[in-house]
Amino acid sequence: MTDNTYWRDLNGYVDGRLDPADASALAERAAREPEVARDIAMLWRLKASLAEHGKTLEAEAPDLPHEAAPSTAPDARRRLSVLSSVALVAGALLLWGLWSDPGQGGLGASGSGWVQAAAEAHRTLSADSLPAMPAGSFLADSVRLEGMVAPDLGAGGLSLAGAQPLRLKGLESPALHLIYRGARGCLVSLAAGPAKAMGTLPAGQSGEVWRSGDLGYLLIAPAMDPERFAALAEATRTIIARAGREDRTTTEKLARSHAESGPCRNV
Amino acid sequence: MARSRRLRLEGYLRSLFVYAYSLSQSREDAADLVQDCALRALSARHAPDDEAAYRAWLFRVVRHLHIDSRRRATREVRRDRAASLGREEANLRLRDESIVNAITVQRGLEKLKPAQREVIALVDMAGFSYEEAAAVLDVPAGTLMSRLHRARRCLLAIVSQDNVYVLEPHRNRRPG
Repeated sequence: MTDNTYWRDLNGYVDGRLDPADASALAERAAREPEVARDIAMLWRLKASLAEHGKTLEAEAPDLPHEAAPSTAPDARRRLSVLSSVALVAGALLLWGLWSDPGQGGLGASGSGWVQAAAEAHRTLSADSLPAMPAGSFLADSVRLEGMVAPDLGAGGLSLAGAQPLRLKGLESPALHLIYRGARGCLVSLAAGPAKAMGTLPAGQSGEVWRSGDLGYLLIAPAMDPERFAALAEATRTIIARAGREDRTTTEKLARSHAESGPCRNV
Repeated sequence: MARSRRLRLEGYLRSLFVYAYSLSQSREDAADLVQDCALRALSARHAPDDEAAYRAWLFRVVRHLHIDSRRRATREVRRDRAASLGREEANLRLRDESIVNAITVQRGLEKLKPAQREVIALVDMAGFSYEEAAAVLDVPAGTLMSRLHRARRCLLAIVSQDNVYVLEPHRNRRPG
């Protein structure tokens, strides 16, 4: 089977377009060969992510024009579309319960900084109640921070599972709280926000806090084995500092610390 | 009559917007395309009665409007920066399926060739069958399938190459 034929069959399989005999043969092959199973899982995940992204975009669709007359001014329509986008963002933040609401997630503690708010948000996390993972366009449009790096921690067995803005009274730009989940259920929070408004971790709370340019970062995973957390913190700082340049050493360290550690205590 | 036309059209506005965005890569342009399409659909003398044909017709209207607007444009923004990535498909080996997430998908879509982005938008985001998407694009179903599977492979190749995701600087828009 050529590479092209292989991928054509995989696509047909995930789209339900293979005939039953070919689908059955491919399923049997996937059961025998982990690489085939992995490629199929990857395509499923890609399709699911695309569908999710489509749903997010759909929410920004404009309303029908009030009249069918083709005299609607393009500029007016453009303004309407911008307004609907703004409303969408505000609506999504309200849904998250984090829009300037001091009663939610401990975010009203003016002066205590977003690091404390992020630590409190992590404390209330559970595997069943992660904030919804918005599509990248939403993140980019609503809470993006200049220079912010959201690292891929996949080598450490962690994948991005949720994201939410952290708003504090008096803080012009929101901090961003990313939640990573491990294959064994471990929850890790990475938060970033303006360095000048970081504040400090609450007494007795462990975590890695550092600055990179105008941004501050917090990495927190109190349930994680301390040695693994130290390796994770070092890798995260390195990846962020290198801002995208390939670093095989860091990736290998991350993978090794994951392989040699036990599951988190929150599992 | 006008009310029933509006009700019928409203059911497709969202998926039309997703498709329009995949073509234009701009929310404002996508909204304009959808509203122009809506105006055309509401004032059309003849629209297909069959629902599947009506949906395909709407998508073709958006597609033609986009093509027309590109022809009129004095400057064309080229977004096929990842064209060269397609040549690397043969060496595709992904480290971990967890790299595919919403952020990487969004960034990957931006890097696809427009024709690849379009076929993915129709099949994976708007839910068209191979045959329906082929009808919108006016290509044979076999061509559609080849284009789709190349587009998905290219998208996977793109997202597999990023190790970090930098959120772009804030420009003009702020939340509510």
